[in-house]
Amino acid sequence: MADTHAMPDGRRTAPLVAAAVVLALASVLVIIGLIGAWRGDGLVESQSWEAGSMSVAFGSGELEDGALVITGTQQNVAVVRVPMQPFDAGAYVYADLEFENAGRHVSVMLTWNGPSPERSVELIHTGVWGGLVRLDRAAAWNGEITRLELVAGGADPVGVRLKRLTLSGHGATQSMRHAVTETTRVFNRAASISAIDFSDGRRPRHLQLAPLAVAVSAFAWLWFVVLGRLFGRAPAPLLPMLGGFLLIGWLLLDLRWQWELSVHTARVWDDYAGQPWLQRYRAMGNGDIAEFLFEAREHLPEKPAWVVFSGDAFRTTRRGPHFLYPHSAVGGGARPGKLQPGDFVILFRRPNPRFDSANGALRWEDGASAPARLIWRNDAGGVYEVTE
Amino acid sequence: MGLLMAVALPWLAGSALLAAAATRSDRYNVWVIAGYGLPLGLLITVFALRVSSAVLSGFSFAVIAGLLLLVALVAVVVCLRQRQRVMPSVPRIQKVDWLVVVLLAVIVYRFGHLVVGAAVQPLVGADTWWFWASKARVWYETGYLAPFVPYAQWIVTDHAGTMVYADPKPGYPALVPLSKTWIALAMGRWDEALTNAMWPALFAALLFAFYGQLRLVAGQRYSMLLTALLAGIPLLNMNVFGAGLADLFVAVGFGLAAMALYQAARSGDRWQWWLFGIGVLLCAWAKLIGLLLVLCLVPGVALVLLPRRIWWWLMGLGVAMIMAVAVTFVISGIEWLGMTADYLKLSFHGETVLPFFRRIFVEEGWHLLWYGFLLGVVAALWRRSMDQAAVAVGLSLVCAFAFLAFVFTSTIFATRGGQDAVPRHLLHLAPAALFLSAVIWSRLLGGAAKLGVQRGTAY
Repeated sequence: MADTHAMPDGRRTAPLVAAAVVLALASVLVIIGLIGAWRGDGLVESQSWEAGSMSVAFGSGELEDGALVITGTQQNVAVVRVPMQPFDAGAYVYADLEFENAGRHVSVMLTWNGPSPERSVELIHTGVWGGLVRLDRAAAWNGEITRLELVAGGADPVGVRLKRLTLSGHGATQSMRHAVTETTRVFNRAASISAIDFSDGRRPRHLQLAPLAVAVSAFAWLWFVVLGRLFGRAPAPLLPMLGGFLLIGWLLLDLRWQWELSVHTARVWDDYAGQPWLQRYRAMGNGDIAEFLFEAREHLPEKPAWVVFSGDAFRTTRRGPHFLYPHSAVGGGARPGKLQPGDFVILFRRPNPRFDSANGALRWEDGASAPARLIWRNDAGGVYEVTE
Repeated sequence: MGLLMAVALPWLAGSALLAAAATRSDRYNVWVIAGYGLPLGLLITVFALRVSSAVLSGFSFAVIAGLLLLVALVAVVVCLRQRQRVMPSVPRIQKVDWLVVVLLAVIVYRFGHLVVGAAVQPLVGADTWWFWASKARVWYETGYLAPFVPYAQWIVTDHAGTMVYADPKPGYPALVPLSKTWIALAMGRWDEALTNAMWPALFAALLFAFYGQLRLVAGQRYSMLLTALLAGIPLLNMNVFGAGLADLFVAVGFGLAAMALYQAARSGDRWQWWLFGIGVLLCAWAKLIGLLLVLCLVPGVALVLLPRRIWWWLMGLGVAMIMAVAVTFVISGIEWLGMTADYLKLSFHGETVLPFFRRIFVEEGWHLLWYGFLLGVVAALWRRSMDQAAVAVGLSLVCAFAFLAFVFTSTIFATRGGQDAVPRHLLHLAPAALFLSAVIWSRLLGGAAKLGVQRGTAY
């Protein structure tokens, strides 16, 4: 490394640096274009649809883009039908929704035309960045899923405009992996928000900014060396110069990240600061279960009780106990063999088991039953106490 | 007020203790003391909570707060008695460096954003709901360390008897939940956002420690610039903004330990070895991965402490022991840390290697951390400019990195879904990697990075 030369005159070096950076940007853009032309469908395995300049407002019923069909079905709800290619390893599909004025929570539900919709889809997570959806592994692999239907609505849906929907498939094998996947996804989505799109005229592609900045830095360094030799200028110390280019790249990324963070912080402040907790849970997409359990726990004894909570999905079942502490609450499937007299069973949006009021029992579809009495019930579910 | 006390008391007690213990050290400054003071105070607090639960049959905020105050007072008295030697003088501003001021403003501005996220949001991420906040909430509400058991055991427990609780990870260490419980006790109420106050506080402590340790080997501008870079790593930011996961504790612990290891290796300073111990305890006590990462520090420590002539023999012996344990683990089918060889599905998956590196260098929000790290290490090796201290920290990082690479290419986690966890595990190494990058680059850059470096009480 020839980095022992004396530092050149800054007035002579600055034009070289500027020219090197411009040439480096051009070089990287050319290379990206060549890679895109060679690979054809982008650098990350994903499918993406853009609504384009004619953005879609929920509830408007407008149709956009030949590939992304959006039909309004009722006020504050939009249905998005997406022609979907089978993913190569698709146990999970992330539906990343990008909104023009994001930050408002939008609840998302997805269904598709697979062979068995009830079996094939489960909504794992929704949030301000989109939804995480688990698709049936076999159906995805066999290419049976060819269309997704996305139903979206929100607290302030009129003000939310869908800009882009990206679906990306990831393989996973175990249900407990959901936790890791969900947590990581939420964090990564925010952390890797510094993404940039390049379009070769066919489909948007996602290339993270970090390797792009490194590539530009490296090319700038190379161009700087070449130009220095061509024009006979005294070369600057090479290693510090490369470090300097990297530092500039880092700081530019950081500037963008700070901007994203500032925007996001402002939205978080608007949505959560000073709000009652129920409102905060609503803003985060857990309002339904929070509202139900805040009411349900009013009907539990004051002294900590043993509670089995079953929700309508993995997400709600796992999150339910959080709203019930300090009762000894667990989230799981309530079954007669797992219940003891005096236990409380809370069911949220579950058709199974049903409460047989005539015989005073919880009755499962497979015929099993447990003697119980109804404590409280509303449209979303109920609280029961096992009696024997 | 309660919230402020919950953070300030451990910080004060830990910092005062460290200042009092720094009698024979010249490898310290006020930033190092402040940076390691909070983790030390937190460890003391959590230990006291455990003792309080066992001995007093319940948590007593007043007793523990009084204890922390007493520790702080005694330490301050000790400091005052040795004022000339120990107490760092108040920084004297001789000349305002505009670049340092701007960088400091950037750090403070960003920190303000992170505090907002941590202070007003409900819990983010599934793990926080399922097993970090669950224990904290239950322990606060019950007032003692109520036992957590696996779900299967919860079912068969006699529900007419003693109350037990269940969550998906009943055996996880208590440090993180108890840090939340402590804050709830101080506030006298449960607030699932504000009880995460220890996350921004620990982040601030990390920045103090990073700046302080770097300041001992580099100039003021350079140290502040690198601290600003650390403060801006997006994944680190998001672990504060959406506080509640234990990964920040592990990252801070490993980073503190690695930085202290570097200083101890450079100078043999005993005080820095104490700081190393604080980092190790924080890392190992936060969660299981922290314990495993701490083991990765052993080769670096051995390199520093053991004579060169026996080092290779001991390293060989260590590798042989690891191999023997691994073979026993695989053949016998015994369970260790809740895992068996069958569960881990040990076999190398070559197709996962590239996606693993793509996670690090392409897809995740690290800014240019790993590129700068890689380039710095390669350049330093090329120019043979790494001293033994840097080699020791580098060796520990290589071991930790190799361990993670093994996990994500050769176990049950070697799937695309499993590799979603790569970033948050690499986050644990990020502060240490940036510190090593900083010291390597400071040597590569020579005088430019060393302007204003001071020994002893440097700022």
